[in-house]
Amino acid sequence: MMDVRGEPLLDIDDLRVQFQVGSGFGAKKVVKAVDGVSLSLHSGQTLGLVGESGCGKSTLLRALFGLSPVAGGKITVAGKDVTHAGRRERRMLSNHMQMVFQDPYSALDPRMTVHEIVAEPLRVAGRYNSREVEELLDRVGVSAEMSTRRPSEFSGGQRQRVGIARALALRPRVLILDEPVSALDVSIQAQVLNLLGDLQQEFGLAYLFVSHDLSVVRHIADEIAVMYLGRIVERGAADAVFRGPEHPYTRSLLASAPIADPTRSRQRPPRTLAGEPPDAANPPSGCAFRSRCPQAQDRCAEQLPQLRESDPGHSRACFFPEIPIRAAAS
Amino acid sequence: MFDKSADDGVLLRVKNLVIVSEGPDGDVVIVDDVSFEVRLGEVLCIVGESGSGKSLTMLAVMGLLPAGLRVDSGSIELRGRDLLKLSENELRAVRGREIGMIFQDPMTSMNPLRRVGSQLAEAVRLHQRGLSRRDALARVYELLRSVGVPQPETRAKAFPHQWSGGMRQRAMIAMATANDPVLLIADEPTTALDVTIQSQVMDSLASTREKIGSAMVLITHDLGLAAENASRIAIMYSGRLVETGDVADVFRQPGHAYTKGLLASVLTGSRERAYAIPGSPPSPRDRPGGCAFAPRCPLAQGRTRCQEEVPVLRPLANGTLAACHFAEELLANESMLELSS
Amino acid sequence: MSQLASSRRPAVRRTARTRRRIGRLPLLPFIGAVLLAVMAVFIVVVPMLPGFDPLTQNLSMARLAPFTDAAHPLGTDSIGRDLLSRLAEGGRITMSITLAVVAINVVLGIILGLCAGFFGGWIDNVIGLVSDANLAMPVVLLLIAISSVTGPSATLMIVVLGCTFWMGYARVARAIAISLRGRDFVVAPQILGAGAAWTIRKHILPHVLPQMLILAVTDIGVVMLVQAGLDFLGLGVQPPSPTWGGMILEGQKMLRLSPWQAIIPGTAIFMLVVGTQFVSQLLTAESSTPLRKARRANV
Repeated sequence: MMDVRGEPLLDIDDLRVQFQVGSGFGAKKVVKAVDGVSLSLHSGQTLGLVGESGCGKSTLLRALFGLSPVAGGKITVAGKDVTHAGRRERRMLSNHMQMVFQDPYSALDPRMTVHEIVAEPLRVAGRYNSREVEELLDRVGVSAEMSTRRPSEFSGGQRQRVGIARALALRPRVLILDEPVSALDVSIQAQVLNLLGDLQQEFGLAYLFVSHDLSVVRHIADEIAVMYLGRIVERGAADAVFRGPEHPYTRSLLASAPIADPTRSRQRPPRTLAGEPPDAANPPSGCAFRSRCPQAQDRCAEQLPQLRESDPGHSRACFFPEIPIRAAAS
Repeated sequence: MFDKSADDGVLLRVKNLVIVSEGPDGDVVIVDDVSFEVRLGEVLCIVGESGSGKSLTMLAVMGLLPAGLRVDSGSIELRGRDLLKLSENELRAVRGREIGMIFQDPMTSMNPLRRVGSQLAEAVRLHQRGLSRRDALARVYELLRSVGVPQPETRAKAFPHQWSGGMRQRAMIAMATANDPVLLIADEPTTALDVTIQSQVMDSLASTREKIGSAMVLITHDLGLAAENASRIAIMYSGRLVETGDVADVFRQPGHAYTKGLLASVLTGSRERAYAIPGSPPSPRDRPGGCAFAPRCPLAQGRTRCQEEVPVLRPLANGTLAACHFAEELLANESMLELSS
Repeated sequence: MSQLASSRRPAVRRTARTRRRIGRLPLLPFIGAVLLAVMAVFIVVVPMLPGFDPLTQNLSMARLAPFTDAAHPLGTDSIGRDLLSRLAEGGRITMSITLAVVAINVVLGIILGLCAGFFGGWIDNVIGLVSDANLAMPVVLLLIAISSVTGPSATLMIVVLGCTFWMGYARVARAIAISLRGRDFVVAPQILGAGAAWTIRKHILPHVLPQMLILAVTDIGVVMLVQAGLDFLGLGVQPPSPTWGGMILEGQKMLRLSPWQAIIPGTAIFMLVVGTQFVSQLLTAESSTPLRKARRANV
């Protein structure tokens, strides 16, 4: 399944991000927000990163742009190590990799016009050109007469289009998409996803698409990585992961998503996954998922399962991947 | 459906409800002539996108419309009593005893500086005067346990921010159902939660509701949640009800192009282009004359009737009621959406 | 794809709203604006009049009451100087000192506040410390101490007062910077490769300025009072140059014989302070509407 596409555009190798919590007289604790994550992204490819809130996916994204402290590992963008890049290198980096934010309301400066917002990256880079800005806006479906308006006059979907235009302004090859459609209405979600699909084809973009919504990821991603408490627990081609999830967490995620079909959803077995994710400052020993896992055994508390390949291109971090969730629960 | 007598098991009947926003340029109609009913023990899902008026409709039922908005006309009858004619005090009693409410983010309805347990106990005592503090607290523990909050005695001593979103929402469910209300109103109760927690909370909500046998109005934008929980469903668009019916009927064969578009834009596994309804919903201020969905509707192209005449809900062959002049064409033509996509 | 459905007309609507707002200016700010306008015109126009002379003494014409002599409409002081001219000249000097003081404070406050808020950490701590130390400093004592060495002067007063009121601006600027620095629209330019200076200038400063303007307008009155007090104590502008505070000082000695000598500049100060306070009310109501609008839209 994994084809050879040469050097990856974005390569994350064993990345670790740690925070110290608790100051003053209390004992300081280290929170491993991202704990040994490796991912790689090739041109034209979409990698879906799935996980619930607090799993470390946002921290991971911030680390890519030098906004969270990297404790170890390596980030390579277009062949260049940018793990600890300085300001000048970061500016170079912004030509290769850009980001689209989750909340289209907070991502745009309310005091700027839409034209100014999209122009900003070009101004920072010192090559502003008003025609280019208009072309970008036009490409994402914002008409020229709207470009002098401020974000408050735009709907959520239109704002997200503006956010995408800004991210594309420097012609990057990698787009980091942080839940780009989760704040949008259903009918608008599809519009934005279609736009992203078109842009990917047109510019050969690579997407790192972060989402908690499995149906969205399934729709857009070629490859999927599932994250739980700072670690990747399963990774593989999208079809393979959705058809045959091997990690019990992936299985329960899939089972938890509501199905928009009354005839099908009424028949399916109860799917509730017990408990809540543990505190990242105080994770369980061994496998972090064992506190909620219906099939956890003694070994899971003692050893940390590593990502291992089951089929070529499909790997999971679980000692007992073959036991299906329902059999173990009964 | 609207002319049945009062004793046919109808719990809540909303009739021709109009909500307006008072502005400097005059009133703007936000919710336009909405009528529906909720029968005893059933779950009605109101589905719509943001700005469709679904939340405001139910806020009006509870008498909790925010400042600047008011009910212009219509009636809201709970068990035959018009809620719009009640005083604020009477309404408050209705809200606590007969209607239970669950909001999207319970954090905002709690005082961050007081322990959860004492806040909940206070809420219990509000409707059961004469209950001692100790008894109220005992009742809180019992309620929390019933919705699946583990170790309620310990957790009650914590502050709201120390509770996870899922736990807070369970507490909200416990409080809303404490007085065995006949009607539960849940406004996007799980939108802020992760999927695995969402399914826990929805399960807890469903089992609590079944235990007390109340009816529920579930407001959501998520068609999946609607499909899984509703017995009947009502679709709102731009302040109007465009289709309503049994959930199975609506999902099997929608009678309104908007419903059909919504269902089609639900992402399936396939990696083909998603169906997207073109354009975006109008703001209430710019709502077009005639059918509000006409500018985005494949049926309405080139038809003056859609531009001029507001369609009313009418029964269709598929078993639903839909507000569309040309619904029969939609029912006859399964592949109608491809026209525009 | 036509995406215009939701915002077809607002542009027109907005200008209509703006026009209406000016017509319907609330009463107090309106009065305030009129007061300030009258004062400004007065300060500019009077020096152009033919009889303008704030300095020449004429003991034969001393202590003329107002409205008794056409050459001296506001009367004269105890050594026969024209009070109308002195009021205008004093206003000019007082206003320029006040504006200079406020400007220094605003600039200082914005720079320090934004740095403290945006960077946080030790920078925040150091600036906080300086601010606290500054708050604890008794201005008048300091001014007396320094002027005992250098002799009192207007420049000295401007410098000292310039470093006295910035803490308020800094505190507000810092709070706004902190509330904004985690917002995506402030993070975004950093991802785009912009540095801290760019980000602060383009995305935080514009949100801070309206607030600073309100504070500054309010402070104009305060600074004017303090400065009048210092002039009154003889620590500010030196005679014979007139200032409103100095005029009150001179008039106070003659309160029995010629009360108008103190009442006229006193009224001028009062009108200016009241005017600024009223106008600042309007600014408070109007400020930061885009941000608030954005927040409202978010709900």
